[in-house]
Amino acid sequence: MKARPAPAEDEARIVAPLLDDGRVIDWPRPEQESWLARLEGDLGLVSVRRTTFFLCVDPRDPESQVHAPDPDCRGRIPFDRDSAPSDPLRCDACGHEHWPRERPRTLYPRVIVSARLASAAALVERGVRAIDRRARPLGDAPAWRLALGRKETIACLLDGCLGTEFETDEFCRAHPVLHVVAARRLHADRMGGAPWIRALPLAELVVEGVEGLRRRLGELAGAAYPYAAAAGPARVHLPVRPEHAAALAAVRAAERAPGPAPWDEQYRVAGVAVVTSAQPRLIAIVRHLAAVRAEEVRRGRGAADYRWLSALDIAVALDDLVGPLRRGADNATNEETVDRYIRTVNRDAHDALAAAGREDALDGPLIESRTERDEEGTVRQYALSPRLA
Amino acid sequence: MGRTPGSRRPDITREPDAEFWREDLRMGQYDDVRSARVDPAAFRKRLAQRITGAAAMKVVASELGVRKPVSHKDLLDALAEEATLATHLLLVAEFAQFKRDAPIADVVDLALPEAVRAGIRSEAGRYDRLAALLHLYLDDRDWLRYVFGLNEWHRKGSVPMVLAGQSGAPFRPFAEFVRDPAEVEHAVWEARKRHPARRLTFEQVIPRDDGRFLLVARHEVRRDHLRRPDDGRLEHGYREDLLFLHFAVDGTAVDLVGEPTALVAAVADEVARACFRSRDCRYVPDRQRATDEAIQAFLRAATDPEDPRRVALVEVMVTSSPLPGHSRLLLTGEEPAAVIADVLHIEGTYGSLFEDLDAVEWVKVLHAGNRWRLTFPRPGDARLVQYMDGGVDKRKCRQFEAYLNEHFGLVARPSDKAAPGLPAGATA
Repeated sequence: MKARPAPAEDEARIVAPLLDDGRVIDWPRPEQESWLARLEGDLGLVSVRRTTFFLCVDPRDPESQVHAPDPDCRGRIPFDRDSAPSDPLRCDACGHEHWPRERPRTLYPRVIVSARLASAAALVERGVRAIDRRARPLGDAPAWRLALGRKETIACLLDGCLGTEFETDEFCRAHPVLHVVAARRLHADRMGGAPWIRALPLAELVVEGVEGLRRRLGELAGAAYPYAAAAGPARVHLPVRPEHAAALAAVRAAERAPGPAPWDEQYRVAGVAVVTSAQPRLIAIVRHLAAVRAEEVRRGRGAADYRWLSALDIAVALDDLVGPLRRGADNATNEETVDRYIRTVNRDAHDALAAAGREDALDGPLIESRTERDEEGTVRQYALSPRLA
Repeated sequence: MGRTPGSRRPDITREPDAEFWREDLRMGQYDDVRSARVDPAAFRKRLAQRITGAAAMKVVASELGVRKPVSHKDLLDALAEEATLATHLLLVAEFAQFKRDAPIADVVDLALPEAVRAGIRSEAGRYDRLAALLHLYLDDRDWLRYVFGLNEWHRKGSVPMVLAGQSGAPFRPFAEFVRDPAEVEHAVWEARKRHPARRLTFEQVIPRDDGRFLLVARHEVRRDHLRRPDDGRLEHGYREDLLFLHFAVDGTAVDLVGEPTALVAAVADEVARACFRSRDCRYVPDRQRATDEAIQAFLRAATDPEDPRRVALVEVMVTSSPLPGHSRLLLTGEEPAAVIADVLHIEGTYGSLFEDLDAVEWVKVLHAGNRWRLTFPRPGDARLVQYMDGGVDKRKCRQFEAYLNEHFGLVARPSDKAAPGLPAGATA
């Protein structure tokens, strides 16, 4: 550790927040402004939106102190002279009403940064190609294999490689991979951890340029790969936002129907998607049972007298919802097929909850069954677990 | 004030009426404007500061009888020569300061013919505030009383109530009853008799463009004192607060504005009792049940990153978050996309924020440029959807309610925290 940080580190500390997606910077300092101009104009790594705001209570506007209900209010109220309506604005913190057009206020600059991942990938590629002109892209992800002396290394933009093998622990242990990280705070957990996980924050790449990339890759080339499996459990990284947001967004997109459909999330229990099977029939069974349950609740029936459905009822409903059941090689009847589907649903749900560590959310099967006796013998009936309602 | 205004032009050859400006419109600037005429240069400067915009200049030109196109500067010079007319117009311009769009639009739509309205409407459909007020004033000065009352009304949050205990038909149609100032004044007087400690006075009845009526009463709240600007002497008196009662056409519902709500409700009760001739009439809070499922569906749409962004979450406060420590959690921001991404991250990683609506203290959604704060209280066994309407004009509130009802089947009402008859903490 040096006594005094090198200028490059200082610069990287300035640049790093400027690359954060959605970062709001009030009163940007001159050095931030000059870096923003470079990041936006020369490198295209971010796009910058400039707007203004005023302070709810501003010592520079003595009038604002006279009228304030809370003289200590720290509220900052966004106001754009060109686009703001002529009606008064309200402070979100104290509720005070402001008329910035009638009673002019001191406006301060605000900068809102949004990151552009495509340009970050292009920057990494330019660096990689400056080191090895014949670097080879690996698949569709922003990852490149390049030769450094006699060793081969891989450089990738981590943010573009989520969900690919390049981000996995096993791959990093086996191959010399350098992760360039744009969303540094999301991936903070992987920096400074295991020796085989090497990360280069995008800010440092911007400040140090190709030389920084060359130095980091050189360290990789000198390391002893592959690393042995760790003694303890493999380092599991925290879930990454874009991945989960995308998964949840996909679920919601599938659910989105014209008008509210109150029960369409019923195959999620305690926030865990329990029926993840790609088979639409499994989803359809759960949905149908949920719809029946919703109907019962609407009629005001209690848990004790919910309607139970037989396998035949469900098979008929499935016929309407997703088409006729196919007869498998085992020549099973429709009822047997439905029985099998329900066993699969229950097994999947149990596994999903166990994987998420939420077994406590459901003490029993997702779809419960009971045997009823009628004039032809016994018949098996099903209903959604009452604990879900 | 028993007359409905319309085409009673104020006499602009005489000095403005002090009582109208100072008392009815609460314009302390009346004295400033009158005394500013002593210094013609300062008066001319004040005219130039306040009277701006092409639409307003057109009114000035027609009042001066100028036919030819003239520059704004020449017009103002000519206006400064006509000191009496200039005083009238300057007072209107002073009145236009700090007035919202909605009250002006309300009265313009009620009062002015479409030909005039088209001339002062901007491309965005808004009226030029100053030009609209000049037209209204020159048509009939009493329109400005309506603007004054409605401006106060649009500014404040309301409490919705419905009529209970009413039996039989009113002895006179309610709409006819409530527009009769003598009847209404009597009701206010009855309410004052019942609450002798409260100083209540009837102010005016404002007709609305939907056939409803807005009753305005004055409440002198508490003792206060002010310094007179001329000699610095102390003036003792009462600070006033305006109370508003917006009745449904048949009187079965009313929106109350003013504090304490119990006092406003007492006035409303007296009106209903007098009209329905029944001592059992009283207004009770309007509670519209909502199902948890419909609220959940609404919250899902508000946190859907791909939904056409007509309503988007910008803030949520939960008492017991799904994070490991279950802390009280406030997520807020200005960009809906960022807040929604964070909500989805927390939901995808730790669990649902909205599963238990009792733990949701409030959410704020962005709709039509406003941040609406919604709460889902459960006083008793019914779940309600309430929103904070303070500071948002009533037109936008109606549009927001209609939007929630049309798209999510939710009947949202302004927050009734202050409604009488609620046990403490019932809305928590």
